[in-house]
Amino acid sequence: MIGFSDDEALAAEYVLGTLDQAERAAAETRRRTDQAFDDLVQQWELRLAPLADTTPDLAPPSDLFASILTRLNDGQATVAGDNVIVLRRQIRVWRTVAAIASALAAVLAVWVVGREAFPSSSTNQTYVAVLQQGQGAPTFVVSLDLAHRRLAVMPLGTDAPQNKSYELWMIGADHAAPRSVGVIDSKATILPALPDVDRGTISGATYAVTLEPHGGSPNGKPSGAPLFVGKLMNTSL
Amino acid sequence: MMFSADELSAVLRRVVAKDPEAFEALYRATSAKLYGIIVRIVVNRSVADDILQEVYVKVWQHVGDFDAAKASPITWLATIARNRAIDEVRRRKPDVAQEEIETIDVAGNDSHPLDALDRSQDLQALMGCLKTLDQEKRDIILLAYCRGLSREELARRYVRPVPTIKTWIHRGLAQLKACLSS
Repeated sequence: MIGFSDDEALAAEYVLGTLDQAERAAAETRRRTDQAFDDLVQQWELRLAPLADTTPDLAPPSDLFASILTRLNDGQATVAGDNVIVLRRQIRVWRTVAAIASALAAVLAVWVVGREAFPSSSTNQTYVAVLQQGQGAPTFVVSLDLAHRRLAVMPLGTDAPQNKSYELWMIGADHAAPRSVGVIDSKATILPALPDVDRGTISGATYAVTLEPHGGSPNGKPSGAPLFVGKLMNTSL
Repeated sequence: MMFSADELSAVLRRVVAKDPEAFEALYRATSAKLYGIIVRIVVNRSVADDILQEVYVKVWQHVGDFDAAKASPITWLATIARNRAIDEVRRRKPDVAQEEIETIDVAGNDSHPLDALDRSQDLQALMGCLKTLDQEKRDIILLAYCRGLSREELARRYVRPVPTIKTWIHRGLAQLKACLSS
C-alpha cells in the first residue's frame, strides 16, 4: 500500500488498540527510543481522537475522587508537602460531599417512592427502610404500604452485575427462614408483600438483598450472605 | 461543567503547578468523559473505577508531559484513559474476553457513532472518511477503537481468520489516512 509502511501500520494499530499484549509492549518500548515512530503514533492519536467524542459521558461513582486523593496521599513522594495537607483536607470534603449526596438521595427516594408508589395509602401505615452495606452509602430504599400490603423497592444507582439479579428477602423476628419478597428490577419495583404473613411480622421484619442468578434464587433460598440490610421505620408519625 | 479547550489548558497549567483545586476542577470537568470511554472498553464497572483512579493519579504525577502544541487537553486525557483501558483488556485471559464480548452489542442499543456527525469539524471529517470505507472495515475500526476489541475477537465476530481481519484493519486505516489528507 502506497504511503503505508510497516511502521505506519504498527503505529496505527497500536493507537487503534488491536495489537496483542506482547506487540503492544514492544511498540511502547519503541516509542521511548524511536522518535520517528513516536511521531507516527502521535499523528494517529490525533487522527482517531475525534472518535472519543462519540462515546457518551458516564458519571463515575460519587466517592471516586476521594479515592484518587487517598491514592495520591498514600504515595506522597510525588506530592509537595503543603499540597499533601490540602489534598488531605480535600479528601475529607469529598467524603462528606459523597455522604451528604447519598443521604439526600435516600431521603428524596423515600419521599418519591412513598408518594409515587402509594399515593392513596392511609397515612399511618407507611414504612420505609434504607438497606445499606455496613456503614456505606444507602443502596436500596424499601417502602411498605401496610394497608395494601405492597412493597416498593428503589435501587439507588446499583445495577446488578451481568447475568445476575438482586433479590429482596424478609427475615421475620420469629427467626423463620428468610422469605423471598421478589426480584428487584433496575428501576423502582412494586412487589406484593407476602399475603400469607401477618402484618406485624411484615412491618417488624428485617429486609435484606442478596445477589442471585439471573431471575432470582433457583431454590427459594438465598444463595449467599445478604449484601444490603435494613429495618423498616414507620414514617407516618 | 463545560470548559473550552483553552480554559481546560489553563486548568491543566495550574495542575502542573500542583494546585489541588485545579485538579478537582479538572476531575469534575473531564471524569464523566473518561469514565464513559473506559467503561465502553472494559465493561466491568469495578475494573473501570480502578482504571479511572489510576488515570487521574497518573495525570497528577505526569501533567508536566502535557504539550498544548501537540494535543488538546481532552485528547491528551482521553488517550491516557484509552491506553490504560486497552492495556487492561489485552492483559485479560482470552476466555474472559470471550465471555464479555458476547454482551457487547456494537452500535446496537445505543446511538450509532455516525449519529454524532455534527459534533465537531474533526469528527465530521473523520466520519465522512469512515463512511467511504466498506461497512465491515468501518465497523471493525469503530469496534476496535471504541470497544477495545482485539483481532481475535473481531475474527470471531466476523467469522474470518485473524490474518484477514489484520489485512482489513490495515487497508481500512490506510484508506482513512488517504481520505483525511486529501
